Amino acid sequence: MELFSHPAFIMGLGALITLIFPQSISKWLRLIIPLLGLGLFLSLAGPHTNTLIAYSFLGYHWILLRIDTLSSLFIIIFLIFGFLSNVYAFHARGRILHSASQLYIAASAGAVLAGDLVTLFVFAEIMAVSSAILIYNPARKSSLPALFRYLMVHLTGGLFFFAGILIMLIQGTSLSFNALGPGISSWLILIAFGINAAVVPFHAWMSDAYPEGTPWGSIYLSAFTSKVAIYTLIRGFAGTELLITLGAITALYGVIYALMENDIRRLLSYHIICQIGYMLCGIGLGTHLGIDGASAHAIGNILFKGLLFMATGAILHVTYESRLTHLGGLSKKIPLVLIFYMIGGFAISGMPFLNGFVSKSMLLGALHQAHMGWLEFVLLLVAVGTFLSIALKLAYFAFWGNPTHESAPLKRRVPINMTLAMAGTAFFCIFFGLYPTALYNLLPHHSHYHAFDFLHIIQSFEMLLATALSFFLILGALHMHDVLTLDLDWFLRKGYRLFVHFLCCGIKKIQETFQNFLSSTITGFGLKLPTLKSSQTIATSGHSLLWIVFALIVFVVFYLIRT
Amino acid sequence: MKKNKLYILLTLLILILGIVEFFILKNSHAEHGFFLGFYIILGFLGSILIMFFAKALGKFFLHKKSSYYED
Repeated sequence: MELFSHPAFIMGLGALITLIFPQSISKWLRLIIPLLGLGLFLSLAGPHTNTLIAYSFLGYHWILLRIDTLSSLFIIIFLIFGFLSNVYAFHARGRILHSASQLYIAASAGAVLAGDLVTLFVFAEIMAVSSAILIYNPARKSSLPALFRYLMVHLTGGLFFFAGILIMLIQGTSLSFNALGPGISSWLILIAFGINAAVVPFHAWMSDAYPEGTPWGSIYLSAFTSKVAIYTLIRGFAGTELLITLGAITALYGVIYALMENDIRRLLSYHIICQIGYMLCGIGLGTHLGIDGASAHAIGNILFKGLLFMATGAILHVTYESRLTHLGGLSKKIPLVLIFYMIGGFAISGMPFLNGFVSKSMLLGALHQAHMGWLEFVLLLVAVGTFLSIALKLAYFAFWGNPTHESAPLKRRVPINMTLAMAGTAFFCIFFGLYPTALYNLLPHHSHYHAFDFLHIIQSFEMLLATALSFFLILGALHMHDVLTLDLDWFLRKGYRLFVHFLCCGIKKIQETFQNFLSSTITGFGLKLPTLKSSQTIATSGHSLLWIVFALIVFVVFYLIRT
Repeated sequence: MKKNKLYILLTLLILILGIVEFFILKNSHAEHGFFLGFYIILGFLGSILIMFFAKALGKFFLHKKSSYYED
């Protein structure tokens, strides 16, 4: 009976309904299903109980559902945000994409509730495939190659995860998903989680793929994969000190790239990476306040980043344009979108009385407790950069700058459902900002942090106002250019091809030498050999060789581990 | 002219907040981390520093024409 209340089951049912039922009916059902799932989940969870659903298969004991404070926090927000994104996508057509989005939410819920590594692995793979489908955007030719790159990265991550599980099986370690001890298997699983969380240097898939989706498809993408990864890191690797350093690097990297970016949705993707950095610092500290801060920031990020993606999606919807150089003068045309965008922008910058302020204060407080002043300084600098690029740069250039675009009429109107979804998400940003006790009660360690310290509020406003002043002073020097910024996805786009090309040339040389040798020998006997020159064959053999080399490396690594 | 008013408004607000901060710090003996005006300096200089760093990085190393991957 409990299985039928499992959020993954309910949302999976939603995916099936979307696939089978006519779209005019299924779009209404998609509004009901997440709320139904939330209601059933809350009745299942009850106050502070640890509910488990376990089953036996292949002689092992698998745990399909484990509810505790940490997992229920993520599930509640996932289902609320799932509902809000379904409202946002209400007007859109596309059976497969909608079905994929529901399956994606289902798999994310399943992954968070999984009590053992194999169940987690299965749900993570379903997440990877269903989210990859959401990247497909019929309006953008570049979305399909991005989809395949995304899939390649995530399946590679899955391989690391699988290898980790296999090693644990061989060693006879328990597969239940709790804090993972040291060992080669934990390292492999940490890499897999790191890829999913977009930790630098495994981050490039995010800024590559997320800006490609449809305006509404990217809303789902922005919320789930990285937050599930943060959940798994909290569960498995809390207190791993390496994560603190990686977190600081990730946060700085993300914010600097965001400042260079011209595409509005890619800019926001870099800010997901940047905020992941904050959470990693909290997880790496591993203290109660650090973990609670990271959880609160993950929840906040789903809300305010979702809101920002919704607002930029609305801009894309009405203008068919996502480059800052080609946008401008929208403030009078879509004033409601501007208001919601600014709420999201202020929330992510940590403005007092919005939810980002509470979670950022908790994380900085945790660092302060641990006497990590330098890290506090780095994260404050990142907060300055965040405010600068999201609430000032993007807002200024999209809504006010470029007066030449002011007269251009809008191509479409913003549908009412989009506006309602933005209003709903903005409500939660403000609600958790004004009434953080509601958030504290949901957190795993129930830290009641005193965020509304008068001095702290004054200092936060000082920092934001000083940033604004300096932005308007240097505004003249901030010309935007329609350019592309190189990132590590270069290796998946150009580097990979160059590598294959290099291999192909090598093979071609060997083939030619061999052929020359052969023909010279054969002609010695008075025979003639047909020429073997098909570039297709050479390219194919190049790819196969690449995979053979890869398989050999994996084999050698495993052999070394075993002995 | 509109821009000048904005500068004056922002500067005034920052000054007022700075004065409030000064009095709070003066009247409390608890440990508060950074010194008076730190957040103003961080906001003002930090944003200039990080902005120009990003600009330079883009201009000299990372920015390519938008059709770079299509060639």
